Amino acid sequence: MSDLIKQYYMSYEDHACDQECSVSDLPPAEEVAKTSDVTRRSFLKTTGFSFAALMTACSKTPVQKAIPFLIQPEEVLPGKATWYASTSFACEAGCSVHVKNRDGRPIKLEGNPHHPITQGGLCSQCQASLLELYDSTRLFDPVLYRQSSTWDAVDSHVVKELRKIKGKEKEIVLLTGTVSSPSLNFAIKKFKKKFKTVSHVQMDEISYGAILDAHKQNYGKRILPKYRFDKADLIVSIDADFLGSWVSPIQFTKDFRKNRDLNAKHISKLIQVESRMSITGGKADERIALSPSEMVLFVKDLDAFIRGKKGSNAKAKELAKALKHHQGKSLVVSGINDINVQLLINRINHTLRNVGRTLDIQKPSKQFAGSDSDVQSLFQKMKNGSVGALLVADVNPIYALPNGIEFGSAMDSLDLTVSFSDKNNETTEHCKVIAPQLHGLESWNDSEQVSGLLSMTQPVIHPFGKNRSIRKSISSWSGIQTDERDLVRNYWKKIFQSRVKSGKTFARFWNELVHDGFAKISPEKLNLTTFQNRKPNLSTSKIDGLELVLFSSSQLGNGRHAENPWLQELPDPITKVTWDNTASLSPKTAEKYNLKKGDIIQVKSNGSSMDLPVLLQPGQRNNTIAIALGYGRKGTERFHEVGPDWLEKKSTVAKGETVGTNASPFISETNGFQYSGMVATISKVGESYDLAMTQTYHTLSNPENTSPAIMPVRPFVQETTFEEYKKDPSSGKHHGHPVTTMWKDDHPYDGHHWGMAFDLSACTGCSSCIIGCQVENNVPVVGKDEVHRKRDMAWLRLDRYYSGEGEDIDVSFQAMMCQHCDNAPCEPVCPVLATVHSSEGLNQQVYNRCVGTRFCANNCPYKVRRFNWFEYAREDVMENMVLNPDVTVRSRGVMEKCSMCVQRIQEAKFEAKRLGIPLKDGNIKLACEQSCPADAITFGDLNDPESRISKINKDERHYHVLEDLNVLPTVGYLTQVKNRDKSDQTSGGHHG
Amino acid sequence: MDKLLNKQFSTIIGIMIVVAVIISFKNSSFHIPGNQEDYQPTQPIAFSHQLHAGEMEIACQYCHFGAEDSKHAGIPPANVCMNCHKFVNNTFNETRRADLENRKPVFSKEIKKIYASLGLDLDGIKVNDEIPTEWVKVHNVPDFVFFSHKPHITAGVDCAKCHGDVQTMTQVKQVEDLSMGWCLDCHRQEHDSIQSATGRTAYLQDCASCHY
Repeated sequence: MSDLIKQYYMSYEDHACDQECSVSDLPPAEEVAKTSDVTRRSFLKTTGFSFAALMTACSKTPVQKAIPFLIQPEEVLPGKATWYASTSFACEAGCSVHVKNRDGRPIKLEGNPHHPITQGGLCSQCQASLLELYDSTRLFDPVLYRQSSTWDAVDSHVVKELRKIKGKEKEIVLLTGTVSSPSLNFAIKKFKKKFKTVSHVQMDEISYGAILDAHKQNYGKRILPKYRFDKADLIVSIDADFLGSWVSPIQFTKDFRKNRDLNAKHISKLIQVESRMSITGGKADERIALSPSEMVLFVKDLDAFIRGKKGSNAKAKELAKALKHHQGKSLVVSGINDINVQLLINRINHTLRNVGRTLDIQKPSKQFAGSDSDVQSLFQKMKNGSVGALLVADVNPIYALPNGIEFGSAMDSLDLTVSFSDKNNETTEHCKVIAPQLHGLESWNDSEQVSGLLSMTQPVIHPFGKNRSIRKSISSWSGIQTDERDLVRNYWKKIFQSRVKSGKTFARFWNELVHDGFAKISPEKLNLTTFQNRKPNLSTSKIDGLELVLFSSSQLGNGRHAENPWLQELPDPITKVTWDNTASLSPKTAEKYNLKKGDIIQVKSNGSSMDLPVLLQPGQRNNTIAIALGYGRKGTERFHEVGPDWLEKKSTVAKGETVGTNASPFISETNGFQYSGMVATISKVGESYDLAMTQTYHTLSNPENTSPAIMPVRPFVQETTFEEYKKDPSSGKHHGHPVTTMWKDDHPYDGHHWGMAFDLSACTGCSSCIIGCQVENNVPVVGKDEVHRKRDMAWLRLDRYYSGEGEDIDVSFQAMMCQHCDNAPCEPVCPVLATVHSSEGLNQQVYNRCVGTRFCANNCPYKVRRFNWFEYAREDVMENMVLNPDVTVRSRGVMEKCSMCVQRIQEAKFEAKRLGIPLKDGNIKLACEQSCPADAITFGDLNDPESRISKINKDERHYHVLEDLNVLPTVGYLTQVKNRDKSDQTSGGHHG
Repeated sequence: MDKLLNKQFSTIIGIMIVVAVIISFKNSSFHIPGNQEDYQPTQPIAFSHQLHAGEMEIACQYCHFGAEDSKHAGIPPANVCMNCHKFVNNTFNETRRADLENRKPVFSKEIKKIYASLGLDLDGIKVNDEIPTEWVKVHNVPDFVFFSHKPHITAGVDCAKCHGDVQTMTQVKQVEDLSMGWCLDCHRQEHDSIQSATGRTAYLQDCASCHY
C-alpha cells in the first residue's frame, strides 16, 4: 500500500523545511510581544469603549415598528420566500438561476437544476454577484459631464451629438462585451439604421478570439464549439482551465462529472498540459507541466504524430497514440489565444473525428464572440480620427487592454463618449456621459448562450435608482419609446412564428419562458463549410529566460467583480491567498533567484513593470511566472475600511491603493491578445510582504514528535486509482484503530439522524460551496489583516493538499466543516452548555448561551469553530439587505460554526408538516450541496435506509477523517479515485 | 466580639435589602431587560380588537392571514381593512342617530386614517400619495430566537395561548413575558402533533428548534 506512505502537505514551506521550523499554529514570539504593547492612549481608548458599552447595555428596549403593505401583491407574503427563475449576469457563461426573494428583496442565487445546459450548481462569482445589487456606490442617476443629471438632458445631449457625428460622416462605435441577447442585437440593428455610421465591436476582457478565428478559417464561420466533456473518454486540455475559469466552467464541471461515474465500466481520463497550477490541473489524472513556449511545440508534435508525421517529443507521441485509440471519443481543447495553435487543435479534433461527437459546431456556444483584431483596429481608428463617438457597455477597455492608458487618451479626443456602467470604473473616468445600466436582478433580458436555447431574465426587485438597460437607452436614442419589458417581449412576439416550433400561443410561450427561465427554440441555420485545412504559421523559437503566464482566477475572473468583498476574501482554490494577486514561481526557480515567499519582486515584460509578492507554487513549470488578472481594479480602494475597527488594526489596503496589481499591461498584442509566453525578467525589490493565506493555520496535522505510533501521518486524504478500485472498492482506505470511548451509547436518534458525505473524487476545488455557505449563513468578511491573524470566519473551508515532488504534483481537495460528531469533543468542555447535541444528531451552537471561553475551539480536532473577536456587522442599510433573515447575525464574543443549515431543515419540516406529507430524501438541500456543480456533497437522513446518504455511508469508499479519535462524525468522505489507466498508452513513468 | 456582631448585623441587613429589592421588582411594573410583559404601546390608529375580534367575531386569520404559511402572522395591509371599511365608516350608533336626524353620518376619525394612508379622499377617489401606516410592534422576541407562526398554527395552538384574550382588548397588550421558560412550559409537553402520520418531525426542546 504505497498510498499510506504518500505524504500530503498543505504548504510548500512546511513540506520543505526541516525539524527546526516545524509546523506551528502559534504566531512568532516578537509578534506576541508586539500585541501586548499597551500605550496610555490605547488604555484610555479601551476604558472609554468599555464604559460606552456598559451604558448601551443599560438602555431601554427600542420601540420596533412594523409597516405593512398598503395593497399586498398576491404572491408576496412577508416572511415567506418566493423563487423566480432568471439568468446569471455575473459572467458570459450565463448560467440559469433561481432567485430566492424574501420580503421583496433577493437574498440568494441558486443554480437551476432543470436547465439542460448548466444543469444546476453555480459558481462563486455568480453567487457573490448578489451583493453588488446592494452596493451603495452604484450610480443611480445618469451623469453628464461629471454632473448628476436627468435622462431627458442626457437623451437630448446624446441624440444631438450623434446626429452631428453622423453629419460629419464619422463612425459611431458601440463597444460591448459579447452580446448573446437576441433582443439587444435587434435594438442595435435599429440603432444602426437610425444613425447610419454605427459599427458594433464586441470585446471579451479575457479573449477567446483565436478559437473563433480558427473556426472561421477552417469552417467558414466565427463560432465557439459546444464542448461535450460528458461524451469524451480521453480529454486533453492544453492550458484550458475548463473546470475553473475557461468559457463555461459550471456547465463543463457538470458534463465532466457525468463521465466519472465509478460504477461504470470506464471513466474518462483527463490529461492537463499547463505551466501554472490550475484547478483543472489539480483534478487531472495526469498532468504535464510545460512552459508556454514548450507547449506550442508540444501541440505541434501532437498534431504531427496524430497525422502520422514525425516529431521530437516522446510524451506527445504517447499521447497521440492514446488519442488515436480513443478516436471519436476524445476531446482536445486549448486555452492558448493564438490562432496558429487553435488551427492545430481544430486539425487534431478533425483528424480524430471528434467533430460532431465530442464537440458540436452545428449548434455552437454563443457565450463569447469578441474579436481581437476588431478591438485593435478600433484603437487605430480612434487614433487617426475617423471615430466620432464611442459607446462602451459591459466592458472596461481601459483596465483590460494592455495599452489601456493610451486607449483612454484616445477616448478623450472623441466628440462623444458614453459608458453604460452603473459603477465608476477606469473607463467611466474618460466618458462624457454615463447612462447607468440596471443590475441583472433589476432588469428584463434574454440571451441565447447556446444556439437553440433561450434563457430569460426577469426583474426580482424594483430598481433602486433611475437606471435603465442598455437596450432601453439605445432604443430611446433611436426614437423608440417602449418600456423595459416590452422591448424584450415585443421582439419575441415578432419572431415567435419563425423561431419557436411548439404549437403554443405566444402568451403561453412567454409565460412559460418567464416561469421556467428557459425555452427551446429552433437554432439559427449555420452554413458551415467542410473542414478546410489551413497551415498554421507557428513561431517555434525556444525561450531561455523566464516566461510569463497570465490567467483569470476562478474567484475574480476578469476583474468585473473586484469590488466584491466576498470574492476578495475567498481564498484562491490552489494558492489559498486572499486579498492579493501574486507572482507564483516554482520552488526551484525561486531558489535559483534566491527568493522566498513574501519577497517583493519587480517583474518586467512587454515594456511594463510592476512589483508583486512572490509565492512558491509546487507543480508549476520551472522558469515561468504566473500572475492572476482581475486585480488592481480602481474602486478597490474602498477596502481600506473593510474589517473590524480596533486599536491594532492594519488596513487591507493602504489609503488610495488598490487590492493587488493589474497585470493587463503585460498582455502581448502579437497575433491577437496573448496571455502567456511573454519573456520576462525579475529582480528582487527587497521588501517583505505579508500574504494573507488561509491554509497556514487550522491544520489537522500533528507534529511528528507527538503523533502516536499507529498513525505517524494522519490520513485525511485517502486515495486510490480506478484500476485498483475496480479490483477492490475499498482500496486506498486507511483502516482506523479507534481508541476506546468513555461515552455510553445512550443517545439514540429515533427520529431523523442527519448526515452528510463529501466525495473527494468529484470535488474540483471550485470553492463555490464556500460562497454558498457565506451567503446563506450571514458569514462576515473580516479583511486581510484578520485573515493574516488567523481569524477568518468561513464556516466551510476547502483544504487543499499537495502530494508529490517537484513539478509532478497531485492536488486533493477536502471540504472541512463541522463534522457534527456523535461523541463531540467540543461539547463536554463547554462550561455553559452552549454547544450541545440535538435529538437529530446535530451539534448545536447556541449563540445566546455562549460566553466565549473558546474551550470548544481548542478541543475540536477538525479546527472548524470560528470565534467572533469583533462586532463584524456594520450599519449599512443597503448592504445589510443581503442578510438572510432566518439566520442570526452573531455578535461579538460568541463562537460559531457550521449548523448544517438547520434553518433549511426546519423550514422543510414545517412545510412537510403543514402539507401532512413525510419529508422525502432530497427535500432538504444544504447551501453548499445546492451550489456544488460537481455534486460532491450529499446530505440526508441516516435513519432512512432508502436515502442517498445511507447508501453512500455503506459505500466501500466511505471513511471518516481522523477516524481513530472515535468522535464518530456524521460527516463522511469518499476516497479519491484517479484514473491512472495506462492500458492504452505507455506514458513514461509519470506519477508515482 | 463587637466586630463579629457587626459582621452578622451587616449580613442580615444585606439579605434584607436583597429581599426587599426582589419583592419590589416583583410587584412593580419593572422587568429585567428584554421582558416586555404588560407592554401596551399607543398605536397610530386606535384600532380595537375588542370591537373587531370580540363584538364582530372576525376570525384572527381573516386579517392575520400570514400566520398559516409564514413566519409572520403579519399586520393586515390596508386593502384588507378596505374590504369592510369601503362601506363601513362610522359607528352603528352614529348611523342610527344620523338617520333619525336626517343627515349624513360623521366619518369616523380613525377610519379616515386608513383612507388617508391609501391616498384616498372620503369618497374613495385617489387624490394623494400613499403613506404606509407605521404600527408599533407589540410582541417581540430577541434577534437570536427564530420564531415562526407556521408550525404553531399547524400544530393547532390557539392564538390566545400566547397573545391572551385579544378579543377583550381595546388596545393590545402583551400578557405573557415571552421568556424562554414560558416557551418551554408548552414545549415540554408531549403534543399529539409531534408523533403524526408524517413521522416524528419535531423535538421541541432541542436548542436548534429556535436558536440558529
